[in-house]
Amino acid sequence: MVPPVPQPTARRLRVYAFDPNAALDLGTTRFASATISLAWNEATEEPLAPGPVNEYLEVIDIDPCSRQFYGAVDLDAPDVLAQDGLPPSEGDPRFHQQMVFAVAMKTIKLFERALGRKVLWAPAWDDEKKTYVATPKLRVYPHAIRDQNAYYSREKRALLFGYFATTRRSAGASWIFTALSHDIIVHETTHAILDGLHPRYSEPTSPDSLAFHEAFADIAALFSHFQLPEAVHAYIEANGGKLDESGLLSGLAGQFAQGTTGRGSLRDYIDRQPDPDLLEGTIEPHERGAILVAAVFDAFLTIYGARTGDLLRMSGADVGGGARLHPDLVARLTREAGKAADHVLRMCIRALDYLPPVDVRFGEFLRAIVTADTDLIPDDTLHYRLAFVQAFRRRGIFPENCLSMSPDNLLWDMQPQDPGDPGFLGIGDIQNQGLDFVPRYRRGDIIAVSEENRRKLWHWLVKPDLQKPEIDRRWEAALGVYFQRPDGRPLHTISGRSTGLKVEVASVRTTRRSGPDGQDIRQLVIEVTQRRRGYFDAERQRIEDGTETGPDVPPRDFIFRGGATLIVDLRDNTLRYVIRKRIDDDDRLQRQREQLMRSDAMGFTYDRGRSNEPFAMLHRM
Amino acid sequence: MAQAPRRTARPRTSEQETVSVRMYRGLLGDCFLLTHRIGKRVFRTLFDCGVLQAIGSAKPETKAGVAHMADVVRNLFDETGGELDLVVATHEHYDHLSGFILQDELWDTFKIHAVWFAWTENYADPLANDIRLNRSKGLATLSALVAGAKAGQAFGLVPDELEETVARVQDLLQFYGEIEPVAVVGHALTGAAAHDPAAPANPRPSGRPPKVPPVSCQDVLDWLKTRPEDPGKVRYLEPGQQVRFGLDDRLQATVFGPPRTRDRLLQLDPSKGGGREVYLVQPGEVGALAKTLAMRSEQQAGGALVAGDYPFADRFRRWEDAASDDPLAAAYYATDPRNAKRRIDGEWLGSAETLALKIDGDVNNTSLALAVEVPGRDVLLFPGDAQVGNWLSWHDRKYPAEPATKDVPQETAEQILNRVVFYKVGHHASHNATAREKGLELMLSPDLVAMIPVVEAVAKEQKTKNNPDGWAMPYRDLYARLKEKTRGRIVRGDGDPATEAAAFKAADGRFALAFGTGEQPLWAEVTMKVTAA
Repeated sequence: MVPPVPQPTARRLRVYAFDPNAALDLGTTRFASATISLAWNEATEEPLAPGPVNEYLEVIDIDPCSRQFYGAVDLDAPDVLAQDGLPPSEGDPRFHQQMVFAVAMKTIKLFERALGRKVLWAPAWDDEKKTYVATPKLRVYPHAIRDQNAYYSREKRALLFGYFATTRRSAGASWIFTALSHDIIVHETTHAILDGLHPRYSEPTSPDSLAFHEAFADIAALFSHFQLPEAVHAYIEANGGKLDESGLLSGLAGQFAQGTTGRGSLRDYIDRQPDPDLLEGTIEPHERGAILVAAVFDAFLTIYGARTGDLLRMSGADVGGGARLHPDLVARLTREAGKAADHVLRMCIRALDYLPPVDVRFGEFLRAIVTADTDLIPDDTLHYRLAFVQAFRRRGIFPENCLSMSPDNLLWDMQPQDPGDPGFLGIGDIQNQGLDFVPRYRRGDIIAVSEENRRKLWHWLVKPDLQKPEIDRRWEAALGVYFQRPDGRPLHTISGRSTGLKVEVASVRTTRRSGPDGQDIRQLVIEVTQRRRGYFDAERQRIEDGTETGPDVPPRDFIFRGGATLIVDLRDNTLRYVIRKRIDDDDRLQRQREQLMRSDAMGFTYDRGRSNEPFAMLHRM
Repeated sequence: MAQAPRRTARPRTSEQETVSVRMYRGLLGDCFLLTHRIGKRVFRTLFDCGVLQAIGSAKPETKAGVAHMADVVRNLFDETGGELDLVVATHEHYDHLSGFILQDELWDTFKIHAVWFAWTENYADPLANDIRLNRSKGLATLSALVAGAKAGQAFGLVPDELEETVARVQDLLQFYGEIEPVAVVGHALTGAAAHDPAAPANPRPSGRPPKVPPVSCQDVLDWLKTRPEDPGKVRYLEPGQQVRFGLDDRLQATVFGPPRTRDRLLQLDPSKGGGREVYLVQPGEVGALAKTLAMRSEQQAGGALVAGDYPFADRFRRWEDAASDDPLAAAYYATDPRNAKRRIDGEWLGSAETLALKIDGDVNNTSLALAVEVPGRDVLLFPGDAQVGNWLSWHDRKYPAEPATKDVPQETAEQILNRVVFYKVGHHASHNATAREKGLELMLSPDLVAMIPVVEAVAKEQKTKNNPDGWAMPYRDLYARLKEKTRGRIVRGDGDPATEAAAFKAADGRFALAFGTGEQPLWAEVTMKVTAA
């Protein structure tokens, strides 16, 4: 009998490092292509099929504008396997399929590593069953439209990549495919991941909400550049160790920008003179998001400086003085840049669990970054957190109701841990609800278990405590939602009966994260939300709030949501944080109203038809 | 109409000087007559003359507006004796110019001494031509889509999907009248025709002569250009200019917009901030849609494939085929409804609608926005249908942009807006044609009055599946704020005269309000005595 051959360690797939145009430029040909290593058929995952189709993605290469349906690449074909996937080529649609697949998968795995759990897509509404059903696979259409656009479609749960002909010579090609731009693929995939994590973030509740989506997608795309050591190496070599020059690394979607406007990059995130007042008047989502991305990039540069200061001093190198650095030093700097970028991106991704379920603000993102990082890595020896705080402060991004901008003041308030404390919330009985915390590895199982946990938690949460109603009131105060109509102010705009108001447990997720010094965190993240009918007219709002409704609920102008994210430490079953947005917060309601009525917020809003696809409109860049 | 600012002549003593603005009512469209009077002398300026028209549609209120136009132009003739000192055509939209098409015979009898346009209407301006050509291509493409669909072409799509989009695109196309065909792919532009003594002074770049009588808004503009006897009285105004007019040159128009900018896109650089997209339609966008349409027609007709039309070489091509047994195709074409929602066959059609909307916004943004200053420094604001991008650009410079001499003081847009006492509400008071902080909130005069050329019933008729309530005109929140700012002194095209007169009376102020005769008077007019300095 033939002894078994050891399994390969990875499936290696070639992609363009940036885009086909960077591959043409003589200065950058050295790192024109990169190789992405994905796990070889993981035991817990569905095997790879032509398309490529796997557990997470299904690439379907239909091109409706040309009325073509291109043949799918089989990544398991021996000829393909033997050469790390098809070689980069603009002219072979199968390579396009390979590249979108590889880059999207790499992005998914990056998020999973930082989040400590599997990525799940936003569920879809089923018209027949009148409920949300899970989306096992995200669709990817590499040639969906002939347009200077690529977007994540919420309705189709799909990534749509466009392509177009250009006459601008600087683009270096006559056809430009957004599916061949590394940055664009990461950006769109991140939209999909974020939407799966926080489905309510795509609602325009404040100038920050849509901007946050854009900013986060750009952050992921930007820091993915630093996973290309060859490119970083060449860049550091050319710039004498400095990273703060605008260029390939700090810019996004070079070829797309060349092909559409002739500019060097779509957005560049080096801003030398941050303006703390700029945020105030910047409303357009990309512009506003750019301020957040610039802040994160600034934090990264500070961290890179802190990590490499000693190296540069030891080498006696004259940084930025034009002299060539020693190749060993360049190699070390490259590693440090890669590490710093990885850390920064992970800090940002981890923060996603520490955000409220609705109506996110930039300042809250900063608090989430600081808190999540403190929980995992209590000792901040290299002052990463301070670097973030400083960068945000320089751009006028301040959290509301925060005493000062020192990292310890930015931590989310810890829940009282002493049972005698009047605000104490015991969750000891949560264990009796039959929640299932056994780690699962198959995504199908994870979806099923978390759905079951969600149902159980909902029962636990909304079941009134008949003996001690004050405990329920205490929970209401903590979560910012109401289980029963409050006495003083009835808020009839929240649906429900006398037995209880409608409250949704939006999601229940378990995470497991490890810190650099062996820290191990196991957490349960629960999102609780509630909706209230909102009206453009404040007076009408007041009247509706006070008017009892019959079975026919009057129509609303918009939905106003409140709720909280609960973070439970599963090591000792204590409630650590409750990050809330109160449903009865009329100031917040007023701000959402203003946002919806803002004349220049979304361009042509007298057409409400396309508002269910916010990203399609936003991305017509 | 000298351009250089000069001291205004004092009117002869004891003669009363007034300015009044007459709005023709019952139109979802603009027709405003500004009259400057000193004693018995008058100077008449017309701002636009148009009404929304839904071609071939059965919308009763809209039709009524069109029929109404005959009375309007007749009244205008009687009022002015068929003589207009100045006509200002703000932009190329039907609801501002269709009066000239519907009543062309009567208009032919008018004497027009001077006409003003925005620089965007000047065929000698290369940037204006770029913007126009791009727009014309877009319009030609969209009208080909509509025409194709009407002729029963399915473009390989599900009929429902096509019908809905076509209806929406057609609604937006009705703003232009007949659309001139343009070669969309390639550069088939011919130069102007060889010199012909009868050729107009400002010939169309396409070389195609305008139709007489006019059938499109562009024809109207070309017709207007021929009206003044003195060709020097046809002016194309640039932002930052200040032009004197009226009796004894006592009025001064400050040109706020349209902005002259090539920076159309991607104002996302955080270090820049300032600029903003104003003209959104990009050449590539038009080309792609045109190409897709052309290919669809070609494919349907069974024509030969043109290699350059397809992104990939022959060997990679595979015709889409719903009956294929390929597993991916089977998954894609699977018939359950949840899957059907995820298909993308008609996704390209979405770009037609986006394009139509963008063109619509672009044209509104080419509106000639004028602030008319009267002696005593009060300002009457006529912004056309300028949308937000246009409004914001007003603050990019000072006025006059280039003072003739050093000692001419320059003013900011804010200073000028602070003195606005009359506001012709832009775009029938839609949500996105009145800037808030940089616009309405800067109008500080306690005497402020507003006129809204709107007929809500007509706006409500413009329904589509995705927009079941029609157009929100006037937009509720803007309207509420206008009411506050004007202390109720708002005159609407469909208002109740008694209520409006009462509101003017109650709030007092500088303007007197008068109406034409009858229960539904043809016009409303506000008049202000000029407190001459």
